[in-house]
Amino acid sequence: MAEPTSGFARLGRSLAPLLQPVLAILTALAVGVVIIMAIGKDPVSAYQSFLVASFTSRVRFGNMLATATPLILTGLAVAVSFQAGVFNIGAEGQLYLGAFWAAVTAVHLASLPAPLVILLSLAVGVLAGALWGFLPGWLRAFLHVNEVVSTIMLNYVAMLLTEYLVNHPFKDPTAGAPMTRMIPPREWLGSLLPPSSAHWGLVVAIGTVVVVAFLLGRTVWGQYLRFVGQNPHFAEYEGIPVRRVLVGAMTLSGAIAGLAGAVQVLGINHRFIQGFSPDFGFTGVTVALLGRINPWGAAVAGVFYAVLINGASIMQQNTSVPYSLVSILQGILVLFMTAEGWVWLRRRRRQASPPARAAEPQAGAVEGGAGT
Amino acid sequence: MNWHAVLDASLLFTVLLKTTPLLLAGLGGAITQQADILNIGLEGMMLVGAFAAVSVGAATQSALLAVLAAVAASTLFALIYGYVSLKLKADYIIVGIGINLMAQGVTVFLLNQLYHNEGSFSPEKFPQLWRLHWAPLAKVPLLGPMLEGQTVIVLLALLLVVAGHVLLYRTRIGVHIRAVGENPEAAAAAGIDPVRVKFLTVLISGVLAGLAGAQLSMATLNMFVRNMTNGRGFIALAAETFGNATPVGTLIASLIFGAADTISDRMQTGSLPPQFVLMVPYLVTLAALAVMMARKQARKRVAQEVNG
Repeated sequence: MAEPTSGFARLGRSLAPLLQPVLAILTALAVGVVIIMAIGKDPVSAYQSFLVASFTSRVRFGNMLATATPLILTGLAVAVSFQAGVFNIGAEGQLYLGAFWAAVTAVHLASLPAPLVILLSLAVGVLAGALWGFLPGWLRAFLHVNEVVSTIMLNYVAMLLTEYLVNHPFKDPTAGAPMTRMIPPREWLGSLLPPSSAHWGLVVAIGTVVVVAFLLGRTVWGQYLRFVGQNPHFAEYEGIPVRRVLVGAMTLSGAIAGLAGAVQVLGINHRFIQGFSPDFGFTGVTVALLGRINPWGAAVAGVFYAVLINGASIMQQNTSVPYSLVSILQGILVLFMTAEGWVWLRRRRRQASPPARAAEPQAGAVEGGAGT
Repeated sequence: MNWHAVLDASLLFTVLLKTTPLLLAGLGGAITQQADILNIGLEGMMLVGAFAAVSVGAATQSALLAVLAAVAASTLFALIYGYVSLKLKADYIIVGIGINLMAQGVTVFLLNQLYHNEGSFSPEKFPQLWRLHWAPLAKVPLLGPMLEGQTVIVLLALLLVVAGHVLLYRTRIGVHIRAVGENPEAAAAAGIDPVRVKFLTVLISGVLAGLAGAQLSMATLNMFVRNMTNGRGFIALAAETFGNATPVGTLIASLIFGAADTISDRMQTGSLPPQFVLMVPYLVTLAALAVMMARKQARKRVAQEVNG
């Protein structure tokens, strides 16, 4: 019998957490090959653009990092909620509100010193997102309204609300399309790796990852949050204020998604434009899962996913394999991300069930048990 | 606001028209909820159903084949949903999100490949669904104008409310479904296979979501628009929750949400900005859920006090 603590076994154990994401990625890429062949294109040249092109020039690499910036933040936002055992699917709406109010702040406070305006603008974006996370968090914790349904509903409300605001009170009268006025260039986040579109928002994103990793890993509140995610009944029994922790987790999650919107506006768009987000918020769910709901994992997965998105654009140009292939692959990734052996998430979702039911992969459903 | 434009004779007709996709998907959600599965994937199943209906209808010029294709596509997605969540034991909320993403991806990809258009597909010639036209019925007040000219899917949906009620409360399968939902351990001890029963409910929800998708794309416009479900799968989930996962309750809640959608549609000709009007169904859904859950909480609290 092999000694269980042999080097090989230890290596296996430390690699085991990566097995599932890697398997899911390989499955998705394999399905991609089949699809590309089915439409009569060459998978090799398509995948060369898809996976490799982002690393072939300084500009492409920088542009990929620019795409990664909001994805790291939305992935982090979703990961925080998952850690607490709740599902914030509302990052898209939180991102829209954060982006809109950040843009409006930056445009209207242009008389103040630029660094102060940037800080205020980011802070307002954070607050807007936090409010949009607090609402479903409160509804979940105190009324047991399922947060998946409520955050989806709030996404539509947020998108329609900003659409109204940018078409009427805050529309740039000189622009044809619905957008706010341009933010003065001195208030833009400076660029990294010019002439690519990478900007200092990447540093903000990494900084946020560090802060959240510290919050979750090294503070009492973070321990509470993870405890609630693992076993809310026991957490309640232990005297942890489960409801407050849940509301806090959703608020923090919304705040980070709001920051993602603010950073995107200050770094890339330089104004709020209706429909500016190619599903950055929804993609946050994929990023969070790929990163195994770990803050640093979100950073790595955000970059990986940015490679896929930018690669897909390049692939469409070079080989006319449609960009939407990446959406199919994303679906497959998410589908298989938690399949068998994924105790890390299933443990969190067992929350609502008494021990007798723990064998089933089930969740709090609509009457979610957290906080009871 | 021009209330005459909102409240005219065809109002009830439109309410039922808007209710039907929600009702069908909601019934699907109710059945899986009875087996303790919150079916997040309804949105995606409906979406592929709507696409398959338009695509196959345009290609074959047969309304029957269009509906069958919708049901087949949607059930295939339900099969994937059931397989990955029940057999591979993945978290079913995550799997539902994956199903929705995949449905969006597949429909946009196929729009692109088959019709060279990323936004929509509107065939020039399209087969018509069979519609209800019956002179005696048309003379009945309220019911007449409500039903006259509705598609066969609308009638089917109303019959399925009854069928769903019978299935859940009057058959052995219904007893098994509810037993698995309430206590899978006890159900398993009694010789019921929880996975099989749950899988069955997921497949039924796939069939119903396919009908919902067909109604959505074939009842009025005969076209497919990218993401045309627009959250209806989730509104259907809310309806099912509001109706306590019972078929009759789901019907009532779907009618409320269908009415909200109708009023929102008609107010667009009024004076409010269209964005606020379009918000109505989502806000009504949220408010209804909040009120319903608050009442449930209050009742639970009273019950606890009574029981000491």
